[in-house]
Amino acid sequence: MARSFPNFVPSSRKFDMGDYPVKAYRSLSGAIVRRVFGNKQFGYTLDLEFKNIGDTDELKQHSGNVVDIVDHYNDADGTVESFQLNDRTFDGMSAQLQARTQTPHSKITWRYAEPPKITSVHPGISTVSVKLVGELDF
Amino acid sequence: MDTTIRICQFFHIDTKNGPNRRYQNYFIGESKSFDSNSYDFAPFQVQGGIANLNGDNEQVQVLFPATQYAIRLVEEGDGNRLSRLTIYTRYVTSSGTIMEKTGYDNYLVGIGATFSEDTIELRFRSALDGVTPNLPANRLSEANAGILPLDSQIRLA
Repeated sequence: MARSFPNFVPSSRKFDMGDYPVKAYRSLSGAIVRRVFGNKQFGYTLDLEFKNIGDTDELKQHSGNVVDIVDHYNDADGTVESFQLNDRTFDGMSAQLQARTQTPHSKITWRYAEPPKITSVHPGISTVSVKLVGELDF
Repeated sequence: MDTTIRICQFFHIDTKNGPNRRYQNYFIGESKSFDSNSYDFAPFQVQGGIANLNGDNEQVQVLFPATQYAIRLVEEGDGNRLSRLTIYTRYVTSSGTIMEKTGYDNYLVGIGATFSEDTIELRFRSALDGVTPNLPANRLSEANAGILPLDSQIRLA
């Protein structure tokens, strides 16, 4: 497992809950049968955007910088290694909601779903988009 | 109208050179007690025919991701040629209770294994199957059916 994701506050965040492994068979009559293959949810997704952050320095406290995010991506061997998230990733979310969304059971670990996307907006300032996926490790 | 089913398969293998191994494929990351034994989680799937009337020992494939324990299963079973497998199929309630006597018990004998870059396929044949569909192999003769036609047009009255 790689080190935790940098403890930065994202500018925006989109979180999708995972689902159970299920296949549905719908007959011609419309009746449907679902078969459930496991007892835990998987496939959580978390899209983070760090808008107008410094390439090397933090422009605002906990806003983060691009170099640290890229270093973490490299340390995690790209999309290979899993890691945990820090509290500031969910900054602004109520504790009750966070308890229901962030890794509802301990088997979920996070990975990069794809390489971070970096858009340069000004000399020394960029916007970074990060897509993470929470999968079941056993 | 909606029906939801949950099925767990319990995998118990006796390898030639190694100890018994027991796995289940529903309760992720958990050990489950079944039939007085503990079954660890393993992400396997079973596919293939189980039985037919022709007695030709249907093949069953068990697919594992190519993990260390799956490779060990092949090695301990001498390439899965001399292992014995029992698969218990059981329904599970939404609360996770395993329902006894709700599925099949299949007894299989290892006949080999196949490796690919991401999976290991263990192949088995049914250990006991119907002998033939027409046992005992009686033959129609004039003695038991009277005068027989020379073509296949026989009508059973």
